[in-house]
Amino acid sequence: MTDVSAARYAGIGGIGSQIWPLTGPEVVSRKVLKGLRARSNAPGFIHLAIHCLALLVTGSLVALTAGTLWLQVPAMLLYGTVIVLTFCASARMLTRHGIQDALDQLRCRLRHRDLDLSSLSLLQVSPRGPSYLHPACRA
Amino acid sequence: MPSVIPTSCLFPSGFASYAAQIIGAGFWPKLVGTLWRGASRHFNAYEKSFLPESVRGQVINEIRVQCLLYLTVLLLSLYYESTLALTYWLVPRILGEPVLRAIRMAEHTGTDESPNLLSNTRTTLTNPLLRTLYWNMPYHAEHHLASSVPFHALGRMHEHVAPHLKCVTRGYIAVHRDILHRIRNQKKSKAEIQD
Repeated sequence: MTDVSAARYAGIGGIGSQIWPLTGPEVVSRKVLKGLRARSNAPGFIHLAIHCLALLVTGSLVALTAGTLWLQVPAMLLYGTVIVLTFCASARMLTRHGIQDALDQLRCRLRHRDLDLSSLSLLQVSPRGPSYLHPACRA
Repeated sequence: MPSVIPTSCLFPSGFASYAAQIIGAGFWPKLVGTLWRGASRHFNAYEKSFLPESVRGQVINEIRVQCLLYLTVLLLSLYYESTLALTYWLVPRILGEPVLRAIRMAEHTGTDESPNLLSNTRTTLTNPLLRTLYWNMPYHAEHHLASSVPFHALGRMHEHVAPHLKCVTRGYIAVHRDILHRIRNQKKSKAEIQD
């Protein structure tokens, strides 16, 4: 099934179409959706700061428990969880023009069009080509 | 138009397949394969299907730079006989993967395998800490419904779309309890057919 026919099969007209369920009055009106699409850098910076702090705190736990394996393994699990959750740290973070243009140099154009902190992706050990399929890439 | 059907939602065929998905049995070999094919310029047919020729060079370069950085870390660790990279990066990264797998399974596994965005993705209502550290991605149905909505607005969007969503679950444990329950039922009905 092609993408377009798959969408038609589900009764969905496609992005931008009048019958796309989100933009129809039955789910979210275009006006509300426009408001939700408003971009702002502040939440991105706050989340980034929280994530870095979480990395620091849980990473310190790994250091503090060094030498005691039964404590260090759970600490590593906690710290590792914070690392893997950077998976979505790229989802539409910093979006205003100036910052975005500067950060464009850092990120892969194939992925999320706002910002993908390359260093976080490296931390994740994750090649980025396949994320081309990710919905946030095609907005 | 890109596909509207999530690709990573195959329902586990049994408990062994569930466990394999949780530990990332398919994830790590896939990762190494992707890095290898990218670095050696040998994309497979699937990758070629979504990487236009105009961008392949860029992807190859990125993957090569990435591999080079990893190789540098490896060589420096060997040279200085240091376990820093292992302790503060690789081992925690590997230990954390099952947590990410469990979260990612909750996003699509067991939902409709159809193009209907209101039913083919699951939103999981979870605690504020996890929601913050996962950048609001637990509002996953909202994220797929409108990828142009930034992460910080997904909570507000949930208030609008919640009545229309077919898969909303309270907590990740409940999601996995449900998945395991369905695997058990699946096995039972298979056994009944064989009888």
